[in-house]
Amino acid sequence: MSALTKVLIVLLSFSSLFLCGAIVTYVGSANNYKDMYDGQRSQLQTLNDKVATLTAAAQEQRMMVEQKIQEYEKRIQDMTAEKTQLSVDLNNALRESLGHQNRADKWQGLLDSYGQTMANQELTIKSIQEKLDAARGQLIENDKQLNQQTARVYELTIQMEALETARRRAVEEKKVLEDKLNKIAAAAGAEPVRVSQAVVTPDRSRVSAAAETASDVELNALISEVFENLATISIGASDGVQKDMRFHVTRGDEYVCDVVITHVDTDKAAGVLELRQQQPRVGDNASTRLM
Amino acid sequence: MAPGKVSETSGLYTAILALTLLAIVFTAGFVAYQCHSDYKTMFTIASK
Repeated sequence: MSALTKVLIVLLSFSSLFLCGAIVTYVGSANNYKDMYDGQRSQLQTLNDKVATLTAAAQEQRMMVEQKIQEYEKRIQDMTAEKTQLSVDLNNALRESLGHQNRADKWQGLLDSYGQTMANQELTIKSIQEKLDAARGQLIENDKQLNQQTARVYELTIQMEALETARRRAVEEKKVLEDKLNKIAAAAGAEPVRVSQAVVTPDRSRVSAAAETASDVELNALISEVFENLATISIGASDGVQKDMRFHVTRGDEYVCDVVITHVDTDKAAGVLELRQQQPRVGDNASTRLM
Repeated sequence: MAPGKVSETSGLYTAILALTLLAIVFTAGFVAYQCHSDYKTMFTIASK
């Protein structure tokens, strides 16, 4: 074996050993790219899935946001229209309020003038009421005087009738006396004798005064029942109450009305209300004479 | 050295060559084991 062969063998051996060592070292320390690839791939897949999920969620959120935006735009549009309408209504209301305020001012002025007028009219009514009360009192007094005059006229009429009766009786007596005289003259002379006639007219030589009228009799009673236009008093025929009697109803010092009797019972009487100043009440005084 | 005569040093070089061959075989086996353990194959370079 030549030296060159030996040298080559040695060199080849060392170089092979070196190369083998290098290869072993490299392979032993080399990365496992398959595992790395699989890891990266799975991570990529996970990320892709996450991206898809997020994209879907984002799409959904975007649709929701767009829907919300549309709803809000619609609400904004509606509220804008409503605001416009409310502005118009506000302007109208302000205008109407102004008109009403003007009318209220006018009415206030009218009310003030009416108040003044009413105060004046109250004074006038009060004075007229006083005059009317005085006139009613005068009317009642005149009515009373009229009743007295009527009674007097009735009395004078009866006296005249009595006088007329007396006159007719005197004429008849005169005729009887003439007949007697004729008879005597006929007996003495030759004159015809006339038959005397009996006196037909009754003797009313006694003239009596007229009976007291209803208003002249003083009767006092109390109002026992009051209806719309009727009243009942607490005395009747047994106390001397007659139909068409007039009772003056008073309450304290105030004149209330008159009651003209239309129906008389034994212990009570009823009549219609006249000259009513106030509505009579149960317990008011009723009298045929005013104080 | 005469032809056909075996030198006493020939065995040494034979041992060196044998050792080298063993190292090469070990290296090949080690590489094959690593490939199989990492990529589950020894011949396919890549698979989809």
